[in-house]
Amino acid sequence: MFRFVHIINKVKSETAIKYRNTIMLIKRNIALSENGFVFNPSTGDSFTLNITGKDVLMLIKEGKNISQITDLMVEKYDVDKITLERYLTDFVNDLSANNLLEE
Amino acid sequence: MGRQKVTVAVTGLNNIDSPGPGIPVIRGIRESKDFEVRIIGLAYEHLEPGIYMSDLVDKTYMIPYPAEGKDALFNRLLEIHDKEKLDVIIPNFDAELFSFIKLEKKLKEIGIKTYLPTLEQFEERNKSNLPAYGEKYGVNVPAGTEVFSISDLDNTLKSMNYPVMIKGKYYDAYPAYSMEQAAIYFSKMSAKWGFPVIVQEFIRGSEVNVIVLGDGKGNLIAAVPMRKQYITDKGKAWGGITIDDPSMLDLAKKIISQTKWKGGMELELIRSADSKLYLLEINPRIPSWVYLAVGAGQNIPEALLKLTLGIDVKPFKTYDVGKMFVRYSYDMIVDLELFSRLTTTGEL
Repeated sequence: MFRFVHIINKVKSETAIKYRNTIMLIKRNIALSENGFVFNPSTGDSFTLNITGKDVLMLIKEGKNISQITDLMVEKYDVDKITLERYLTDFVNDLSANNLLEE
Repeated sequence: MGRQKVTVAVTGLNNIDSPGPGIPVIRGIRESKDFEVRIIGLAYEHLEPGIYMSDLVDKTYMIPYPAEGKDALFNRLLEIHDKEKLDVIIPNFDAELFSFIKLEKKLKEIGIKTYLPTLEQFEERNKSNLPAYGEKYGVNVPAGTEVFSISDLDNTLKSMNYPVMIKGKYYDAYPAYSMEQAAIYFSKMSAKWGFPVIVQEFIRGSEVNVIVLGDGKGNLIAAVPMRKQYITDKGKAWGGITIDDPSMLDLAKKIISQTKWKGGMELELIRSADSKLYLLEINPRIPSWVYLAVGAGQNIPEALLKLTLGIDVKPFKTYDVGKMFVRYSYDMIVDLELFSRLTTTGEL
């Protein structure tokens, strides 16, 4: 269990470092609709994002990195910067795990 | 110019929970703007739903089971041809294809056209020959072997990791997680489909399929890849979506160009976690989800009919990505009189 958690944390911190100041690229053919529906035409997978998730994905599409998205969103939501950055890292991990980000 | 009149006989009217492709094939053909079709259903069972779908099937005749042999089938087809003047037969069951391939010439002599692979092509892609097929054509295939007895099965499983897939000769496949489970499925498969039973390595991943049409000269006429979204307990897709996967199309192109396959085909594939494509099976006919391809812009049944009639068909270049199908069941109300007429006269 410890090892598993350790690995997960390692992956998260690597992702956080990787994307904190680097632009993330959503795969070119990924479709995002107004209501937060995401479709990956290569795999047939589809996902539903809530409003916050959709906002984050839109910001990623605009070329913002985690650090910039954190700065923009911390004003809008009742959350501290560290917690928000952690949530964003989790979200980006999910995007990556679901093959929505360019490697 | 008016539409060409054509009489087409179709099998696979069993539009049940493990559906045959007959009804979606008929829907595709009926949507053609080039043909005015009369559809003749050929049925094995009195309760194949397509028999009673009078808006799709004009007339149905019972035909003998493949086990009765090709001569019995030919004699029955002669009787039907005498009344209906068939132009084309589109067989849609794996189990009947052997007979139809064998009868191809005789049918042609009496004026009935078919569009089928050769017997060699048909045998080569058999489940039990798949490992050799993969090696010959450079395609990833899960390790597998054919077994004929429980002791065979026991020996085979000693060198494999669980779970394994236990597959029937023609249809059905179950994952087995122990020797006991494997033995149960072995008995079930052998009783239902005969020998051999195929034991195959289990590959984890998402199930993806490609429907393919080859012209027998190595040209890929049509191909649409689909990801299964909802799978029934029988392993059938209840919902699926067309996907944009060039590697699946490349594989289809490679197989068609190398084998020079003639007719419809379905490649059953698994996309593993490391993104490798494994070929699980090649079904030697149009699959039951063919209407998704029609909806996505490739009317494969119509193209097949044209090829059968010797009409030139340009290969399809595109299809709509993200088109879905959702299957449903529907209760028809049938008068006993229709059922009794079918059971007593063999036609309806």
